[in-house]
Amino acid sequence: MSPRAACRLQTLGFTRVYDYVLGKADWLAHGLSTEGERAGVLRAKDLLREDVATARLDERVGAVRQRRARSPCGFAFVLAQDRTLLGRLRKAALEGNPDAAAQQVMEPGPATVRPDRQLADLLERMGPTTCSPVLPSRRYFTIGTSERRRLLMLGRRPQRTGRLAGLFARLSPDGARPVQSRRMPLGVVMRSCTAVRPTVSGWRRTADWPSTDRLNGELLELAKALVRMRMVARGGVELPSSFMSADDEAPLYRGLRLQVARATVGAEVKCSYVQLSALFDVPTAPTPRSSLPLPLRRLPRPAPPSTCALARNHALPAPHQHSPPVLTPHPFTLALSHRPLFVPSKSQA
Amino acid sequence: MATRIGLKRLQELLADGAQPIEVLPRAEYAEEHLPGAISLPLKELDATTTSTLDRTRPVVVYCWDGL
Repeated sequence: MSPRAACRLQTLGFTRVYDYVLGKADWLAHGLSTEGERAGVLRAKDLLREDVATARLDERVGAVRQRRARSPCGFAFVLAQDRTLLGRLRKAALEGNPDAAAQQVMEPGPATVRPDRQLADLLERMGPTTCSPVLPSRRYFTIGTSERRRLLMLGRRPQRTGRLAGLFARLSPDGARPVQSRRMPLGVVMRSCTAVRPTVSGWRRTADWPSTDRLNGELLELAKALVRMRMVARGGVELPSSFMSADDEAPLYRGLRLQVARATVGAEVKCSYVQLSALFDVPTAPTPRSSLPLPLRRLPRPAPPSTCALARNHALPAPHQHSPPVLTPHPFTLALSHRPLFVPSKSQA
Repeated sequence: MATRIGLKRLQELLADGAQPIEVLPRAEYAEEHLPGAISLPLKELDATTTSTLDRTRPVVVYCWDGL
């Protein structure tokens, strides 16, 4: 299409015409910024990590193992001299014969994902497997290796620096430092109620989950459900006073919590939102910015919802109060409520 | 024939004030486009629609993948 457009412009008298033949696909594949309705959607590139251990083809496994120990990921990538990704050394291989060469024990051709791939689509596709996207420029990064990490990818810190950084940052327990519990939103997702309500009504309460494994599975399903509804994490949910009346908050548990609210006008439900939050143990001493694993970036200001204006949610803490969270090894619990947080007052009904 | 360029040259041209033009349908432009790009769908390219372009500055056209 662009060659014909360039030719047409020349016939119209334009003399300095260039054709970017690789087009928008190439631009997006390089993870460059865009404008438009989908510009703020979370993508694979937003989870870029560059602290994954790497190895040369002929490098001894024993040497790689030491680097892997300093990396947050349980594996290492094997790269060619030009940093082309050739394979992956899984944990089992790294714990094997220390004298073996990386190319002898690597898993060749790990799956890759383009950096512009929307996170929602990616989560749907990933299922229970690990994913290792690669940028065209041969940088490498990985997306979480556990169900818990994949769930956390839905959220982000309510801080103007560090998109997803805090949630992704501290997955290893840190018992040495004093900690205190803080509730941090993983994300606020919203959509018109017609899409939200059927799913919300199907969620169950904490007592329905007998085991942590089962809970993790349910959480993954929940994450997928949110993704299927094409919900994008947003901060600062607001409800106008004319829309809200009574408050029926779900009980607070140690662990994850969902809040579901409906904004109504009279008997008509105008907008629903779901807030997914978690209770983290965070260090009381501030963590140096330099130790954050992801590049700190300023978040784009979220666009106001189209259906209605919303009032600030009281559960969102002030941005300056947060340090990167540390997840402790205790099992998650989940509190769910399908009761509406807000119901119309008599004067509105 | 127009000069075919890659990403690096595109970025140089944009830095020098070139006008990026997306020739895909307007719906695709609205969804996502390069920063600062102008929407001029191929089917609408004529003397009238291009009259707003600055003829003294380079023009870079692009679509999805050049096909």
